[in-house]
Amino acid sequence: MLKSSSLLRAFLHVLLLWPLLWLVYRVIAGDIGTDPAESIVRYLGFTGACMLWACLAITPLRLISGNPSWVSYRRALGLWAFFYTSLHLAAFLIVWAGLDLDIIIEEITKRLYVYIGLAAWLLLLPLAVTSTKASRRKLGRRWVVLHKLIYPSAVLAVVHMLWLAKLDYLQPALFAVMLFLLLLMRRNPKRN
Amino acid sequence: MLIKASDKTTPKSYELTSESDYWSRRAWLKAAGYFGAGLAAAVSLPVVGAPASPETWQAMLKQKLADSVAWAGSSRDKPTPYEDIIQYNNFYEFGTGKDDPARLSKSFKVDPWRVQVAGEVAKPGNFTLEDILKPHALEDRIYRFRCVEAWSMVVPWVGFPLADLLRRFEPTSSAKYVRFETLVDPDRFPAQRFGRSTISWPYVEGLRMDEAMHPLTLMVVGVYGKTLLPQNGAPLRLMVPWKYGFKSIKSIVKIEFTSTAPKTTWQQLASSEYGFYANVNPEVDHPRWSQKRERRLPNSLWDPNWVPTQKFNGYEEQVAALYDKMNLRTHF
Repeated sequence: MLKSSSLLRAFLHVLLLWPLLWLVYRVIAGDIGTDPAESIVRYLGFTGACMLWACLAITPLRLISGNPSWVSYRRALGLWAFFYTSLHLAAFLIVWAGLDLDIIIEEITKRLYVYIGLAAWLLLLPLAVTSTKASRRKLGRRWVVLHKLIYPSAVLAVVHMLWLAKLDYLQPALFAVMLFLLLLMRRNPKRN
Repeated sequence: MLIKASDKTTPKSYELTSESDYWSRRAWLKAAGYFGAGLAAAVSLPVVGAPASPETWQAMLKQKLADSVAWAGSSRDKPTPYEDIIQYNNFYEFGTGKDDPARLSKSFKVDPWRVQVAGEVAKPGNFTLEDILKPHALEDRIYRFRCVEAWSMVVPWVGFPLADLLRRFEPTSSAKYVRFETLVDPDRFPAQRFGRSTISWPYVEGLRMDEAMHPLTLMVVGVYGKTLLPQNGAPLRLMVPWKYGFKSIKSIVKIEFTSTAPKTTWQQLASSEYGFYANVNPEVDHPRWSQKRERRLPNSLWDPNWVPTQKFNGYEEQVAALYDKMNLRTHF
């Protein structure tokens, strides 16, 4: 039986911090490739998406296992997903674009997938801001409605991935299929 | 199409390397251990996947690489380090990842290798690499290399003008285009294995006859004075420096002279994004991104090294006349 002990939660945080430590290690070791900016941006985006998908897997896991304690990990996963997608955006602006305003404006307006990625991140922003227990209490029923924004955000993230792919559609296709399944599993009659 | 030997192909004085730069470049190359006949022999050039006994074309190529001469029109831009040139590649026969080609080509066999010549030509045939190489002296040419994905490198290629090779087969008057094919061999190219790819192999590229005969169009057999590695298109690849990288087909096994424009691989995959001409042009954006600038590799964490893209990749003086009457927006 799974218990949401503080030990397990601490382990989860270390686990989710690990991809960042690994990235920092690779940068310091000079093992980040010929085009570090591209590698870092892609790596952070991929990691963020994985955590967002893990967050979306909580409800199906709860339904399948019949164990409500899964929900206690959801906030951590959601916040870490927001953390990595924020780093992804920051790396795009700072490392990839070199904080050059001309380049940033042109990329956001010309590369539609940048635009869509930005929209996906903006949808997550209010969720991160209202992730505290106090906000949840204050917003009540509206909090639940607001946090459904994770669904359009994930859909936009998939569009973002598909749109930027040149011919390597396998990875975005896998994310799309997983998202479809995760949403489908929510239709479990046990839910209500 | 008439082939004009135009003065525009002669490098301008400012493009010529000054003597001091020439020698310092040589000294630098030598210091890096990439140059000099004796050095090349001592270092023993890595011929990847070669059998224990060296084939004759490889011995011939070694000698020719040692005898290669610096070309006066080389780019003055600082060349991208060898390690980056051999580790960062687009070569979808190996995989779509930039590191797939270097990783998956370690056992790639370049022997035996034959090139079929066919089509509108007086002397078609099936040629060994020795046949292909024999009469040609090699030149070291530093070219700017611009990928359609908006990154770029500066590469010291070693090769000989494609025109010199094509003339030997005596193309007929109905030869208007040249069509090239890359090897199909799932044993050597993992991405060609069943179910691995959406591309219908072989990879096909093509040039108009006057583009193919242009003095800048280079048949490449080496990089940095060394034998070309598989990830860079060994043993024989094209380099058309004023066009996006995908035009410069790798690992050529077939050269066909045709009367109509060949349908190229990237046109088949996405004709709205990748045209037949694919001339580097900052004024015409890719449908999904700007082509105004490029990230010159290698770059660093602190500097993405953006540089403005030049029309025809900076070779406008030499090649603009080829497209005098064309609208480069429709013929992109």
